[in-house]
Amino acid sequence: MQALRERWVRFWFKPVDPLNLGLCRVLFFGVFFLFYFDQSARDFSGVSADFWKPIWLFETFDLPVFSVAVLAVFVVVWKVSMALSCIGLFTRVSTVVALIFGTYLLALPQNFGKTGHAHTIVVVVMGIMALSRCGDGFSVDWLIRKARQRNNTEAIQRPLMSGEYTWPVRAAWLALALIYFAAGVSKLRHSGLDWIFSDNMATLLISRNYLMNHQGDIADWGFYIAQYTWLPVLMAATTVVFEIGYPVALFSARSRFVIIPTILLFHIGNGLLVGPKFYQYMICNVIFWIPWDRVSRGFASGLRKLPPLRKHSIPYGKDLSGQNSMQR
Amino acid sequence: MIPEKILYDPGESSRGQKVIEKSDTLGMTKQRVFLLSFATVLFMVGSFYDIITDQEHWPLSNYPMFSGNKAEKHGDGIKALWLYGVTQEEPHQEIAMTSNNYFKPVSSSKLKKALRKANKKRNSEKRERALNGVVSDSLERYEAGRQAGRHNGPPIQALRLYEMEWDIDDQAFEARGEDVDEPDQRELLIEVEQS
Repeated sequence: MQALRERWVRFWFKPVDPLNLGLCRVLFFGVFFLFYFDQSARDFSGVSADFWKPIWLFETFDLPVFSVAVLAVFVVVWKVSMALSCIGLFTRVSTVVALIFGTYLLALPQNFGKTGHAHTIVVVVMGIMALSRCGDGFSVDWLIRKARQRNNTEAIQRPLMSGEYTWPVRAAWLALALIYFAAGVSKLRHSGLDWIFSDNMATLLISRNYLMNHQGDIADWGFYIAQYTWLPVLMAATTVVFEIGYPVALFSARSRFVIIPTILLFHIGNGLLVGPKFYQYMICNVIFWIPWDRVSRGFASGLRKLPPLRKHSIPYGKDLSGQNSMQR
Repeated sequence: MIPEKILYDPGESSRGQKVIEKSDTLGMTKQRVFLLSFATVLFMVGSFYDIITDQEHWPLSNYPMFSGNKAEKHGDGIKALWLYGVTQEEPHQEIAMTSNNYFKPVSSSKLKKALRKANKKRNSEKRERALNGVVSDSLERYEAGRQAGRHNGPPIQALRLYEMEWDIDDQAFEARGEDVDEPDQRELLIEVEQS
C-alpha cells in the first residue's frame, strides 16, 4: 500500500519548475483563443426547438438558453478570460472565468441535433487549468510578483519546484488517455471484432464519399483503399489497438514516441478520408506531450552557441567596396 | 527522483515556511495533495462509469462516434437524407444544399441528425410535423444567412427533403463515387416553400 502511495505521489506530484506548465498554459489558451475566435454559440439562441435534444449538463442543472444579447456578452467575457489566461494576468481568476463561460458556450451547441465530442477535451483541460497554479511560470503575474519582491522582501514567495507544476500536465495526459480508451472500447462493445475484420472500414470509407463528397472536404482515396480487403482491416486494427493502448503512454516514456505520432497520423487520415478533423485532440496531444521547457531551453542554448552578431556586423556607413573577400 | 530539498526563493514569508513544513518535499500542503488526488480519482471514476455503462455525461462520455458496424448498417446500399433548394430563377433548378455555411450555426452533421431523428417518428402526423419544423427552420436560416451575406448561395423558393439511396457493389469501387449526385433511388419526403 505504501509503495502504491509512493508511486501515485511520484507520478502526480514529482516536483518540477513551473516553466513547462506555464508554456502549456500559454499554448493552450493562445491556440484555443484563436481556434474559437469565430465562435458562434450566440446564434443558437434562435434555432428551432425541433433541433433541441438536451445534454446531461443542461438537463440536470436546468440551464437555460440565453438571448442573443446575453450570449454575445458571454462570448466576449470568455474570450477576454482566455486572452488573460494565455498571457497569465490575474491567472487564478481568469482561468476559472474561462472554465465557467467556456463550458456553457461549448456545451450549448451540443444540445441541438447532435452531441459533438470534439470540445470535451477543451472543457476538461480548462477545468484542470482552473484548479492549477499555471500562472506561476512564464506569466505576467510572475513578472509582477518578481517586481514586488524586489521592492518588498516580505512578499509571499512561491516554491521554485513543486508538484503543483506536474499534476496538471499529467491530468491532461490522463484525460486524453481516457478519451481514446473509451473510443476504442465503444467500437468493440458496439460491433465486436467485426469492427476490424468485417467490411466495416471499407464501407465507412466508401459511404463517406457519398454522404460528404458534396462538401468537398474529404479525399476520394477511400474508394481506392476499399479495393484492397487487407488495407481497411489493417487501418481498423491499428485504430482500435492504438486507442485502447493509448493509456500505456502514461507510464512508458518509450511508447510515447510511437503512440502519440500514430494517433496524430490517425487524426490526419481520419480528417482526409472520413471527414471529422478533431483538431482539438490533435492540438492537446501536441501541447501536453511535448516537453516545452526542454524545447525552450534547447532553443535558448542553441541561440547562445551562435556566434555573436556584433563581431561580424559592418559598421554603418563603412565602405567595404575596396576590400577583398579575405579582409571581409 | 524527488529531490530531498525543494528550493525556495530567498526571503520567504512565514506562509512560505508553513508550506515547507507541511508538504515535506513536494512543495505542496498535504491537504492540497489529498484534494487533487481525490479530484483525479473522481474524474477517473466518472470516466470509467460512462465507459462501463455506455452512457454520456458531457463533457464525460463513452465516445461512441463511428463505433457502429457500417457494413451491417448500410448492407448493399447507402441511405441518406438530403436537402435540395429550388432556385427562384427560371428554369427552377434543384441544387444540393452542401455548404456548411448555409444553415449556420447548425452544421450539416447536426442537420442530418435532426432530420434522421424526426424521420424516425412512428406516428406519421408527428413525423411530418417534426420534419416540417426542421426544414422550415433551415429555409428561414438559409435566407437570413443569404441576405446577411454569410453565404453566397442563390435565392431559393423552396427546400425539398429527399431520402436517397445508392447501391453499393463492386462497380462502385470502379465508379469511384462519380455517381454521388445521382442516387439509384430518390424519394421526396417533404417540401417547404417560402411564405
